[in-house]
Amino acid sequence: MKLREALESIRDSKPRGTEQTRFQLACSCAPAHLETFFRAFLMRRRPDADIAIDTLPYGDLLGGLEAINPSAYTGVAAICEWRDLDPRLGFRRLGGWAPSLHEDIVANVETNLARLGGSVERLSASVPVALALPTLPMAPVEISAPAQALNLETRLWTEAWKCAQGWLSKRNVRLLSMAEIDRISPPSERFDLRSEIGFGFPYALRHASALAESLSGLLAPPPPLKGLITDLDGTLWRGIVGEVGAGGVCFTLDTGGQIHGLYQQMLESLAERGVLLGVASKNDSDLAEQALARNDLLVRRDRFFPVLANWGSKSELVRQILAAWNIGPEAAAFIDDSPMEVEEVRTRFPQMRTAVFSSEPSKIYELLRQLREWFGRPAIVEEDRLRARSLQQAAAMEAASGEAPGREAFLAALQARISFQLSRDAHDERAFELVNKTNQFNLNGRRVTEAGWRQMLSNPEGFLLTASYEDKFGPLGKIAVVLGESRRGDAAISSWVMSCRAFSRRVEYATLSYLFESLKLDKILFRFEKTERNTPLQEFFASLGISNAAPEISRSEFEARCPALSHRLEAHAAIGS
Amino acid sequence: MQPSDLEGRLSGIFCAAFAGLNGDQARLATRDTVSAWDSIAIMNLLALIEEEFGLTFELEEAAEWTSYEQIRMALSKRLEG
Repeated sequence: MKLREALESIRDSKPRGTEQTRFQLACSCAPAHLETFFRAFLMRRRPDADIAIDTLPYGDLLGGLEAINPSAYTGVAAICEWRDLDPRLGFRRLGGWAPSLHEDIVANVETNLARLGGSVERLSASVPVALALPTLPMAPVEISAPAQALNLETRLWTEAWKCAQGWLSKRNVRLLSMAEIDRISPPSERFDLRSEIGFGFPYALRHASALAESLSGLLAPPPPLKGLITDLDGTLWRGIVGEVGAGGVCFTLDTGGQIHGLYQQMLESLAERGVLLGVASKNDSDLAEQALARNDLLVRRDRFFPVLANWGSKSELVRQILAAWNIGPEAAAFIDDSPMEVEEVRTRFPQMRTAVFSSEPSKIYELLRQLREWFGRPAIVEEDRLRARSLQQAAAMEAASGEAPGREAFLAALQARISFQLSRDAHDERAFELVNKTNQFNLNGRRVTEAGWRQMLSNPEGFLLTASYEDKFGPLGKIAVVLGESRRGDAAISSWVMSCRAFSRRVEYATLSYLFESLKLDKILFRFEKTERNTPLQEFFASLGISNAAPEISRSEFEARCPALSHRLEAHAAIGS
Repeated sequence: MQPSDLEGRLSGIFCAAFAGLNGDQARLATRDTVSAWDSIAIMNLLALIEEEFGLTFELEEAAEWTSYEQIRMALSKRLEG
């Protein structure tokens, strides 16, 4: 981003939401253009939020970090340059570079890394912390041929990486990738000594923009895509299975199909992380299945669901796969070697991410990087891994429900178990994620910021109820979240979401039943708002006679209208009624 | 570069650096009439000019800038030279 573009986007921004989303930009230099870029990128990433940014006093990163109150922030971006670990490693303070001082510099850096680690640990216990290790060159403290690796520099980087590795095990710590920052900001063009000496701002504009873009991306990442739909011939493997047969398609180096093998490896890796994989192929179904069943394929056959191979249009196959997954096109990607097929799908689903699988080997790296960007997420939770399996279970359940003698008998035969957790645990990442990504069974469609989430759960009358589900078809993991307040026998529900994977199991009825029971409630009031997509919740309300105009229900009304429930319940209450 | 091109680009820079100024006000801007004209503003102007025109000015020279007109003349001289 150009500085002018950043300034103009800030200047021209319209008033946004009422709730401020506050970030801390922690650096020891004058924040200057870095703050401008950081604000502009955050505004782009959070178009509905009113972004506020605080910065530290000049010249003391470590002291400034120690003074930060994390509860005030949605996230903290910290940039630690060498001068923050020892001023002699920078260019604005004079303190000597003589070899006799090197051991003292190492000791100082170790001490300051420990201080930095203390702050990272404290802050990340409450909020996401995006951390950049030194991105600027170290002052020439050692003297040698420029191309020769230096002893002191190697020792200091070793210490820094050792510490960083420990910090990465902390929840909420997001370390800036040096490989990525090197890719978007060439190291030799980052440092502006004129500006450093003149203004105390050491970053060239392009590097300031790159740093701000990367750090804002770590703190406000785009929602990762959920599913990838792939073509087969020319994409998953080299060759046309209809011409060469299942044994003739190839995907290894010695058969000239290496780029397809790399792609398969990436798909297997994505599947293991919970990404849904589907196949849309213009092919003979039996032949496609034979090739997919090859045991030397680098992605397992059972990773793909559904596999649609026929002679219909690609966009129709894509539509059917999205329906089976119950996700929108904005949450999926489509990969095909035919630019025409890609264009056809893109025309029908403009919100869908699409890419052409090129037979040109040099293009595969870019595709793999693109997939990493689309599907990357800060952390993997168990529910991500369960998602693909539970979709297949849902399909099995649907098939079984057609065979059961009646709905009640079918539900009873599921042997369903629901585990309820009642708490004020603001650290429940899965619950927070569900509230912010669920659309269909969603009380009002409102998204919650990290700060708002924490504030609500610090309220002594607030509560967070989560439900995890399992039946004879397997576990679905944590699938429902209720956020509210209870007082003297009444509860007001401000958020209620349930994953679409848990529909048709009466989990929503069991949830209300549990709330009435565990909090000893007489009445529940819902902060309901109709949205374009929350029809499933509206239908549930209708089944209980809850009106949209006065959305509430008493215990007696609920008990009279609730259908039979056959779940076995487990309850873990960290708070009482 | 035509003088009008230079003026258009420079006034655009002023509007970006000083929120609230329009193009006409930008052309009349001086340190005395724009309250936000401080060292941070000079830093922004310097960076924006460098970005827009690919020209680098000495910090000492930039520190002496007190008006739009003065900067326009300095730019014009550099671009002609």
